[in-house]
Amino acid sequence: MSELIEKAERLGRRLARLLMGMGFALLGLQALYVQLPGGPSGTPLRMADIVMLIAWCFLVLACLFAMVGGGGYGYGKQVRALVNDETARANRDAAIRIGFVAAMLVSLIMFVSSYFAKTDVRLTCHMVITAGLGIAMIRYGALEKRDYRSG
Amino acid sequence: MAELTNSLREVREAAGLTQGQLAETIGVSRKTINTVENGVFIPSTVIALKLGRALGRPVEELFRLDDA
Repeated sequence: MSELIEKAERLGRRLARLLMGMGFALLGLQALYVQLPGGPSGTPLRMADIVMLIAWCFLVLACLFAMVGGGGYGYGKQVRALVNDETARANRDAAIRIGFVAAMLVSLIMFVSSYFAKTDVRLTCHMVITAGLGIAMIRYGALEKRDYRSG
Repeated sequence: MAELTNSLREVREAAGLTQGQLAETIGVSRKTINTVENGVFIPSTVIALKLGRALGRPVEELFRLDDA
């Protein structure tokens, strides 16, 4: 196997693990956000809370960029093309589809629940982002890992 | 419903090529060759034609529809 193919394979495996891990991190951070004083409850934010919110926003943007763009920046055009070839694009499309369904379901639940209990807009947005992006990333990682494993 | 099957693995092995070598020839990852051989992934027409060209076989010989 040539160096280019090997490099692409190593990067692809690493990306699958990374995206899956980041997906789980997003879901984990959802639980942490609910406990933030300035989060859903609306009490003033401390400096640590502001830092955490900014970090979360960067994490979301990085995840979104990686999911839509495919990642692998800085490894050269050829390696990137191999990592984002037909199977990776098909897996990404399937994962984004699942993420979209998850985001719609969470939105629907929050919409209906708002008629019965006070619903916080920030919490709702946070949950929709977490469900949509987090589940898409976990699904993508799982599909890629399956494809690398079979054979 | 008709099911797509392929003889890519047999033809590739007969040609003495590894998955990595075939992948490099047509410009895809080894994972793509692997998933096509295992029937996990159905390649596009472009990839199918590239595979046929790289292995010196018509596409119909590599891929066929088996009626269930």
